[in-house]
Amino acid sequence: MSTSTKRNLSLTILDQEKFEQIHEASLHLMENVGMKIGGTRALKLLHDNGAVTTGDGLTIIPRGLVERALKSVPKELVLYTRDGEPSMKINNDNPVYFGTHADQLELVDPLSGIVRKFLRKDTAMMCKLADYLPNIHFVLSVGMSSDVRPVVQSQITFLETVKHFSKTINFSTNDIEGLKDIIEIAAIVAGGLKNLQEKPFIFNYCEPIPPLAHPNESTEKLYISAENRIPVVYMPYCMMGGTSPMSFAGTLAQCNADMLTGLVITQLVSEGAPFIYGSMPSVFDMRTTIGSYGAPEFHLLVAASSDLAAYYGIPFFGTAGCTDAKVLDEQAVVETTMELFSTMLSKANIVHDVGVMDHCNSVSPELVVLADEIIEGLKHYTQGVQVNAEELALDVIKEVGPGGHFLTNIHTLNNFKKVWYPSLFSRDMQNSNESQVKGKVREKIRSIMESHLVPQLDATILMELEKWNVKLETYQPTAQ
Amino acid sequence: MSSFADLAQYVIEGAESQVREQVKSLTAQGVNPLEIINQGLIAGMSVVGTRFKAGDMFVPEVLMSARAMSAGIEIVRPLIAETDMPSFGKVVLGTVKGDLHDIGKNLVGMLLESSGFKVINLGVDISPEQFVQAVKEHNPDIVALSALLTTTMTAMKETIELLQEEGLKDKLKIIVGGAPVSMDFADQIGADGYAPDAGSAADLCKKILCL
Repeated sequence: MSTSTKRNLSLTILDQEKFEQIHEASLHLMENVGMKIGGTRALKLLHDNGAVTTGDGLTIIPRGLVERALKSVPKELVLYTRDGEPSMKINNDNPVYFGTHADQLELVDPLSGIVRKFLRKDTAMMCKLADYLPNIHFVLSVGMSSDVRPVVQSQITFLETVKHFSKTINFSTNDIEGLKDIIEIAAIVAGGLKNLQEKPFIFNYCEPIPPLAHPNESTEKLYISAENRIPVVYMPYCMMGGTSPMSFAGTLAQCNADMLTGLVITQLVSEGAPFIYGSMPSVFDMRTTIGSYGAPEFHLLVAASSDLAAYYGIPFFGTAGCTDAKVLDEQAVVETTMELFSTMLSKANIVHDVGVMDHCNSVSPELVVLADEIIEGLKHYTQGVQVNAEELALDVIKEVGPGGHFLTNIHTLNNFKKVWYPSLFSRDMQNSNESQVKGKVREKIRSIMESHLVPQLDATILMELEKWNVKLETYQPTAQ
Repeated sequence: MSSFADLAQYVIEGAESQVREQVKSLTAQGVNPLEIINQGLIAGMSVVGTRFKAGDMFVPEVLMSARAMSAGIEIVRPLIAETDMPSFGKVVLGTVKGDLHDIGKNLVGMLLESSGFKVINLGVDISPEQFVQAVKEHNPDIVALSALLTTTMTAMKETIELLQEEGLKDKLKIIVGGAPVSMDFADQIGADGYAPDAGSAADLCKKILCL
């Protein structure tokens, strides 16, 4: 059973003054340093609207364009299930939704615990799990199955995902062709592009290459998403000290400028096109050279970025429930919990990477199940404390009186289930000497695989998808 | 009195101006320039390499040490015949066609240089033809290919195939790296080596050149 998420507590990392300073710093970068922007269509639009590309090839974006884009971008966003039911409503109520991966480079096999290459067939398993878990609202289909040719990886993974997942699908693609194909495939499932646009059950994920570079592929993906009115996340992933300055405020300003550049392009392509603020200001570990997924500074800056998004009034795409650890150990659980707690208190709305391990090399179904439980528990924290006559319950205290007990009081009977009872964690009076949690997690996965049925698509749609499958499997790229 | 030990220590500390002074002082004393390099500068850098591997030194410190070492080498370079300059070999490095990511590749380049390799960094989005051209021009011992995306990994294979077709592959070693790249993949496409991170790339290069 999942209770609805009430975030009646909030953690503010950036106050209004800090927000204004960072916003101004981002505009300074856009107006005085410039962006390295590729893609003739995006550049033409920018130039037609007052941006200038200097002799050094850097594009100067005037603040007026940013201000216009911030006005026209939708402040509310509704994402739908595959069947067209509203599933994620992002609005003033500051809701939060979580998602895991449909695929990854590697899979931490839930039965053997062994880390191995991700295979096409594993997507159905990840999707089934995510389809069942009440606190997982979407999956990210990235296209990395090792047994699929890279040229069609994105599309094939999306086909597997859409067949085996009835909630909302976030997707990224290896290339521009992949994006066009996936929009066509999703339109078949939605019953036409118009239906897909009105009730999007998919949203795109694309990235610049920080610092301040937006190659042709990135701007084209923004362009195609905006012209098709497919919601799109623009996600600068930077590493402090490597691809952003070794300072918090500078990194936030740079990420914000990269995001704003993407926002401006989408709004020039199609005013009012749905857009989601992404930001992953990570840490470049100077000892090992990885980009960390579990660093506390990373998650502080994700939360700070969610403040920036909230000031702009744009939906924010967060990151949590992931770890640098390769196996499900103390580190994995500590990092995951810290991130989920920070995220629940932040203003992030759509949160990805639940269950991602080994600094984004693998995904672990077990960690997804654990995270689902942790999120459920945290919802009971972020509900906060309400103070009113009913909650004060003075008459109940009076009725029981000094020295009495509440166990048999009707008030207790009526309300005791408001407290959270974990399904995986132990509160036994006499705890076992061995942890029971891992066994329960595996049992839960086994039982979901056995008994959960993902709603099937209509036979006619499945036939159309099979045609796509054949087309993709036999696709031969023309020589360039 | 200047000593090799002091010089090595300044390299370890990344103290560029002290390294310069020390090298100038040693050359003024008439010390053999090759000994200055081997017993002072490279000796210091080799301690840096060991400490980095042990997790006791961090990338920015390593790069400062490398910079200090290079500054020292530049002072003695005019005193040494080009053929006598100690070098582990020449590496042509680039991110393959279609891929614009370069932070990892640049780090590999800097750490290879700090280990004594001469590195020709071609940049990003380098086509198989451009790699072939660079090999013909620079005659390297090693070609190092980088990719971050699963799609551009295929360009690694194409690059190796073209080097083979051009009859260049047998004259050099090819190494590959990048987030989605694995040892299996390296074997599959006929690469001579794979390193999981920039730190171990230098060891790999030394190993495959049997140094």
